[in-house]
Amino acid sequence: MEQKKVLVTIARDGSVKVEAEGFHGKSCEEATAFIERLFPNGSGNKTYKPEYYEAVNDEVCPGLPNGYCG
Amino acid sequence: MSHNSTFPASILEIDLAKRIIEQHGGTFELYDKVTPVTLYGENTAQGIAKFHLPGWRYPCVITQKGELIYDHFGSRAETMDTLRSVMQTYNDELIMGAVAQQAQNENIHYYREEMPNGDIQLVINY
Repeated sequence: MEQKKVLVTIARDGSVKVEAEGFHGKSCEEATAFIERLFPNGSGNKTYKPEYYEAVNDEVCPGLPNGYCG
Repeated sequence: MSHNSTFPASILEIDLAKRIIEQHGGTFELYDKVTPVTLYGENTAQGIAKFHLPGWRYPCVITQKGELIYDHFGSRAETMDTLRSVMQTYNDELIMGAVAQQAQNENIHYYREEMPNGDIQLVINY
């Protein structure tokens, strides 16, 4: 099982990049929320990887075919 | 990976910023209300605080939203590195504090690394 981790890169100019790895579904957002809250003005530059859209067994998505979320 | 987010430099923790700016040899002034600050020529910026870094001709302004407005005109090129260092140090301390706090509440392990290119990387393992 891939290690779940969050990488925070603070560049030399002070800009911040947050990367979530090894997560599936929307759990990555829970993992990074406490960091992203520090920047309430937002980034306008959030990209989702294919894993974000993968179904996870513990997610419940009423109205959608069984096992699919997002 | 599942998602990436990027955030430009901004300042919302004023006390932290003041300490770091003064550590870098700068001066800091906090206003009671949003105040116009003169930059180059007749240009002004509305801010809640301003700071002046060594070697800079004009001050940097912090807006109500935490954005930075500045004009580097007339300053030596290398003095931009001072602002970059201020912002990197600020975000480093801000984020490290949040990570340390989170580690008290969750089963996470983390470490900090200074990269050869000058970036700072925090790795948080879940």
